[in-house]
Amino acid sequence: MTNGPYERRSIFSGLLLILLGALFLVARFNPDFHLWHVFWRFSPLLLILWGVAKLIDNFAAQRSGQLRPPLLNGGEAALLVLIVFVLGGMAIYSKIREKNPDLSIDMSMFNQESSQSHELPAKSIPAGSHVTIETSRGNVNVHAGDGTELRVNASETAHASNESTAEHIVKDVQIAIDKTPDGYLVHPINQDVAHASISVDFEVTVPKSSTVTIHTGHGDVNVADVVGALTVSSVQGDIEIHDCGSDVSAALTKGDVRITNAKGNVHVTGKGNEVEVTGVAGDATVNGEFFGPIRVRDVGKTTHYQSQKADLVLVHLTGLLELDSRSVEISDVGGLANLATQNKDIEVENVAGKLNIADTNGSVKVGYAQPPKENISIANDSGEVDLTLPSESTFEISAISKSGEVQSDFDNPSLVSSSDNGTGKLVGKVGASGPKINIVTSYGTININKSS
Amino acid sequence: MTDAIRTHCGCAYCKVRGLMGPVMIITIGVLFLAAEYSRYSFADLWPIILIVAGIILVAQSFASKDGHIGS
Repeated sequence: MTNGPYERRSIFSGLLLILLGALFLVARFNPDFHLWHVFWRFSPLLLILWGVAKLIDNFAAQRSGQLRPPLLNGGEAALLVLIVFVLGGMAIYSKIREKNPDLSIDMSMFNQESSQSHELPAKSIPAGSHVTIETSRGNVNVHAGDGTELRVNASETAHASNESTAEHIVKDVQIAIDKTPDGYLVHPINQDVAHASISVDFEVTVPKSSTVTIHTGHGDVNVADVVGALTVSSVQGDIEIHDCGSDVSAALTKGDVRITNAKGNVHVTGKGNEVEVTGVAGDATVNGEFFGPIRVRDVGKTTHYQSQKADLVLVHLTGLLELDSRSVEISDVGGLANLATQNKDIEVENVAGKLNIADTNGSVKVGYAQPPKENISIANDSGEVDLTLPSESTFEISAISKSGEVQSDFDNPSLVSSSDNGTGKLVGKVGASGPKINIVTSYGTININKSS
Repeated sequence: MTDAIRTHCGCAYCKVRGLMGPVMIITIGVLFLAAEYSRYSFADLWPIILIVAGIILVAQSFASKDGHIGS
């Protein structure tokens, strides 16, 4: 019981917690942000934070006449050890997640469940009707049958904090098929109640010619063989669609999308993890922020990918487009290819039409199996550029590396290579006539290789 | 001996320190509510708990211990 000088509490642990919380939040909302990666790279910042915190402690202690806290007390040391463990755990968890993407750890207060199922009488509906299916929680499976009937099977599961509530609530859930101006709306009644969560899964068979719209909150959607136009939106859950006769559009905010064989245009928007689109007769458009990988194969018309950091247009992709947060790989494009990206390593092979690449902070590798017939333009900022052409290629080249060199396997009297003030240049022609090749990078080597 | 005395200590440091428990509980409650009624899940929002705890710790270190009773 003295009023002598007390030891202050250090602000280090508080600052550390704030920093950590902010990092976790950013990591959560920005899929490109890899926490342990950043933490590892910037771990010296921890030392700086420590020093600054101690400095502030010192000044504050002097001003108020209290004793300054020790350099690192027991509590802070324990906190640091804890953080190392948590980050290590998260790194391991993310590795496991990469291997088994379906694994999910759900935190839920409602752990008592009760379920029932309804089979609604089959209903004959006119050809070309628009069928809409809605559930705020639950999986939806739709496939097209040969008849003219709309068949709906629903199973409802209520989760509540105790069993009798769950039973009571699930009994109130009904399934309705309402007539709308152009078709039918299938939806549950009394699904959204307080103090319980009810999922209603649908198993629906529609006539082949129907156009189908599906909205689900939390749940997976699976659609097959629908001939009419298809629209799927999901807040959280995976979407899988195959063999569709018309346009397909999918919107989601969390989950994976897999679309196989569509005879119309395919449109994927939103946020999520993996996107896989294979076999599209029309255009394939992917718009949004997907964690990746994004794979697109075999698109008849134009493939368009747009996100904050990349904008790609590929006409008639017969090979593969694979894209993740770090890299873009493209092979076999029948028409023109336009790529504008940031911070990605790019690998492109065999583009029949014009090729335009604009990138920053990444390496660019371009290869051709046949001599190029259309112009090639590559602009990079801080990164090397590698162009590999068959030895019989003819072209007119201008390659400039502002702070780097240009190396070429092609040597021809009309090719002039120069280097002044660190700027490497290669200008000239190979063969009598050929497409123009324009390469510019600010830092990095440009390699023009001959393939054997 | 200290428990009874500590609860009576009215210095700024002990006041802020006493805030920690209730504020944490309130934060967690608010987050669970927000997770139910907004498009963000608890898994999105939990780092806010760290930030709030950090803010209180910092406030604690700036609070004066003048008039502190007890050990």
